Amino acid sequence: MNWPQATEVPAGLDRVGGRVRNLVIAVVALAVTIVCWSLSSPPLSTPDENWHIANIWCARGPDESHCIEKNFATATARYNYAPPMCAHRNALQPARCATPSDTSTIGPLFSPDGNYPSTYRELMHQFIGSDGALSILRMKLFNGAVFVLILALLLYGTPPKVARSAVTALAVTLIPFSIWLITSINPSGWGISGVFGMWASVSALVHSRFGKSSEETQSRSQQAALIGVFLLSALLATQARRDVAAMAVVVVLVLIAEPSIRSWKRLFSGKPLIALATLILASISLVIKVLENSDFSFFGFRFPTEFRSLNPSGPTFNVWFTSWVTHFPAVFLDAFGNSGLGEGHEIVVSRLVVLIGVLVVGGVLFFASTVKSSGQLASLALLVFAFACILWFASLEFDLYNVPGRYVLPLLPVIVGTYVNYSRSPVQLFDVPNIRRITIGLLGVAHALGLYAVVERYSSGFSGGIRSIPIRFDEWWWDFMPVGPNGIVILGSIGWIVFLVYSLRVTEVRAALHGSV
Amino acid sequence: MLLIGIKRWSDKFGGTKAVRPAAISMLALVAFVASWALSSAPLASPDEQGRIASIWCAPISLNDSCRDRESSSEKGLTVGSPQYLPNHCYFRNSALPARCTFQEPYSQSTNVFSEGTFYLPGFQIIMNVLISSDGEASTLRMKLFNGLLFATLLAMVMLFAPSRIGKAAVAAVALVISPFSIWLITSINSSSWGIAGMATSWVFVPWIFEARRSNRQQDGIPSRMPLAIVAICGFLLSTTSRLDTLVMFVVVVVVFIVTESSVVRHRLSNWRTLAIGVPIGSILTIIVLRTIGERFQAVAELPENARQHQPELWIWITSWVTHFPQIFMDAFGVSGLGENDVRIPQSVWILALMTLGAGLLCSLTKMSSQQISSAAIVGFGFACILWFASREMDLYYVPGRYVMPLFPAIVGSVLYYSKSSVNLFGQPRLRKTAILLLGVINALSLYAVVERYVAGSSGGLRVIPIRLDEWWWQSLPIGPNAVVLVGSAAWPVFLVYAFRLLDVKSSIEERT
Repeated sequence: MNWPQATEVPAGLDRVGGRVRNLVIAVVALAVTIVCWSLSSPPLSTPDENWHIANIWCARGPDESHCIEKNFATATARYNYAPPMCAHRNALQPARCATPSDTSTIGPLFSPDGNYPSTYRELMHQFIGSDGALSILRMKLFNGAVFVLILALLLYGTPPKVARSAVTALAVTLIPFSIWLITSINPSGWGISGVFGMWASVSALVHSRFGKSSEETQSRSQQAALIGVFLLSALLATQARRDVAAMAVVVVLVLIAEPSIRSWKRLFSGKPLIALATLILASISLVIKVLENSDFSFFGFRFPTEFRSLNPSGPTFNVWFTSWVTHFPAVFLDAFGNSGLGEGHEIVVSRLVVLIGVLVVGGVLFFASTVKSSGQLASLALLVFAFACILWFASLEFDLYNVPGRYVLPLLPVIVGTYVNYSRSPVQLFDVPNIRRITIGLLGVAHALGLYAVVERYSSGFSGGIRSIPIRFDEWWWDFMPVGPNGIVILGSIGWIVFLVYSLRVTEVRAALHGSV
Repeated sequence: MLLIGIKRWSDKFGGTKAVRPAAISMLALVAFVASWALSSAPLASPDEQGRIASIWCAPISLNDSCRDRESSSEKGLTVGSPQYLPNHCYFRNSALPARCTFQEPYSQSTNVFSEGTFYLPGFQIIMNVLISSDGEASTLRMKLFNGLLFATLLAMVMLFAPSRIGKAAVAAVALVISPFSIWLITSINSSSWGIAGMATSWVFVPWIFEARRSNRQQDGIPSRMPLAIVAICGFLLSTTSRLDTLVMFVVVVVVFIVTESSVVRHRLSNWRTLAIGVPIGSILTIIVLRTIGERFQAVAELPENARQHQPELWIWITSWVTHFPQIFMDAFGVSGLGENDVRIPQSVWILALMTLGAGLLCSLTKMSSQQISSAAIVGFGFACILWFASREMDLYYVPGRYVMPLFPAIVGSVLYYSKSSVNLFGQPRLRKTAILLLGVINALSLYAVVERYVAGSSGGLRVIPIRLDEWWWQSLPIGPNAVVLVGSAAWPVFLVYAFRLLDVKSSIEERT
């Protein structure tokens, strides 16, 4: 069987100039996309945003300008900003509805020892100004800019194979939920950016250490970029949510342990051995902790000191375990908007987006399966870990079938990227010109539909179809912008496609230059 | 006679190396369809109470299977009460097993679809021949007959069609048949014949043209006889199934004829023709849609109090265009099976769509202009959905089974006309991965169906707690767990040996 030729570097292209040009275009296009997503939704649009606004405004306690009162006894805070609530969870209602009469709001407080570290909200607090909505927009743009910075440094610093895997993983898993969260004030956005950045940078470092000698030698600036990405991503991941910090640690351990999985000769070499042993011990401890305190007749876990049962006359162990095993992949469908977007999941995302997402992921994984390698076991290990996370979250939510997918979204690009990265297939999905064009087209359609659904819902209310959104510049909440909601949708859609085209060119130019396709 | 036939076949079509994979794949296919036929009890498939009444009270009946049959002038329907009243206490209650107790037998008279309406009488008449005094045994006989009919047609395509056609047909069936289509094929729903016919007979047009191009003339068994059988059976099955399936058959045949025609093939590869034709076609389509648009009411995803009658043309068109692919997902059990009371694990449709996506993307590595035929069939499928929705008055509740006959033809045409050197089932490792996943999909689905009807749905996987004498096929020597095991093993075995057979045929064709 003859594999089709992978894309070649166009003749006559200046090699160094081509790299830089493609990189700059890709980064600018991504920045445009990020800005459009930041502008796509007003305050209170993402899940639990009322919590995050309250905690950000009162991050430093009561003061004269932002926080009126902070009451730990009732776990509430009163702050000087009243986002409009009339559109809350009502998809038919545009966001520019009646102005609230109150100038302050009472919101819930996080526990100081809870899942959300304080660094995030203290940093976001710096962006608060006199206008609450503009303050939130500044925060969203900042979070988006951090993601763009991480990706730019990765495209610059990572070896071609890792870069290609990273771009592939992002392209097929980011739309629409993850990118919407990244460009929000929900700390889960930091979690997604952070875990992804850590994965890519550690993969690159491991690849450099254990990869083929024909791969390009990392220059000092590239190594510095990787280290910078790792440190920045570690900050994001550890300060987003504590469970995300645990995810990041596990991801790093798996990557460090992977070389020892691949090679028995390396099994007894220092750091991989330590990492592997730590990972195995941690996994066994987690499994023991979960199993020893659960009665297999119940859907439940022993949690703090109280035993909670979901189904007193419940099934046997193998029935509930197999039920979860056959269902848990569906939790990841939230990445494609399967449960809708919006604070109350009231934004209906076209089913076409979900279908395209699953279809393209399937194509990526199949191409990466042409020639398998034992290193891809790392991806399986991460999938098992994701399953354990879902079990854990289900115990908190008491219901497997309503576990929000956003809790495990940081792991999805990592699982896909790891599988592609360790594949020995001669050709990946995006290496074939025709398939690349078709896939980029499909992903472009999915992105456009997702972005449109969000913008329309918050601009003029949900219509069920696609139309030119009937709203003027001065009628939506970013009325200072020179573009209206239709312009946001068009620019964002174009930006995403341009980003995909040029980011893939960056990886293939570098790969072709160094013969590592 | 059988041995002579096998020898003549191996001499003409496959060689001795092909005999073993052919035999194993046929046996596995029979085991597969038999397992699905046994998987569900009477009344399982949609509208089955009406089907039973229609069959027992068929217009031409050789047995005394109907009482109180009379024609009603109103709506031109014939009403009758079948002699067989199946157990229905588990009906639409997935927690109840089939052998549950009930207060009253299902005694309500049921409308029978009379001649000349949507359901043509051929299916009912032929099924009526299989009726005996035991109603349950009769339905099992019908289910097995329908399953074997499908298996026979598929086997004929595999054994006699050129290998390239056979591979496309088997691949298309493999990718879309489980769970919904195979469950419907092995039922007494008349859609069974429509799907079975279309899934196997779409190949006969490419087969004719390929035979002409290769000038293949063989002594003894003419190659055209199996082709003719497949074509005629496909036509008959579609005709006697449902009127709309007949229309689908005709349209698919026309599309393939147009695609294969040398004049049109030349035109298709001329992109200027497409550049002119596509805009003109789009304008015509919009004019037609605007004309019929008045019939369509609301966009169903809006809340009841917000739905508008006759929304703007652009909104309802775009709403439907972005939604209609979801309807084909019913093929993977998204909406459940049974009377929507058999819940198929979500992993099934996820894995199925991923595998289908891989298959389609591989075939698009190097495209051909003839693959536009699949786009034409998809467009026709969209038109069918619009038409069904106009009857149901609601897009989002159009049952996928109405367009299920088109699915294998759509996928098959993409695969067959591909010029790609890479295809999902062509590369050994990809083939193994695909067959493994398709096996898992089939096993999970078959288990879900059997468990629901035998012991009630548990939500997970277990050894089904039932004895041989507790389920409805009591005369069989195997129980439900064995049905699941056999059916689960048979499908991947069939796929493995079917593609081996086609590989052997392919190498022989290349040599000759």
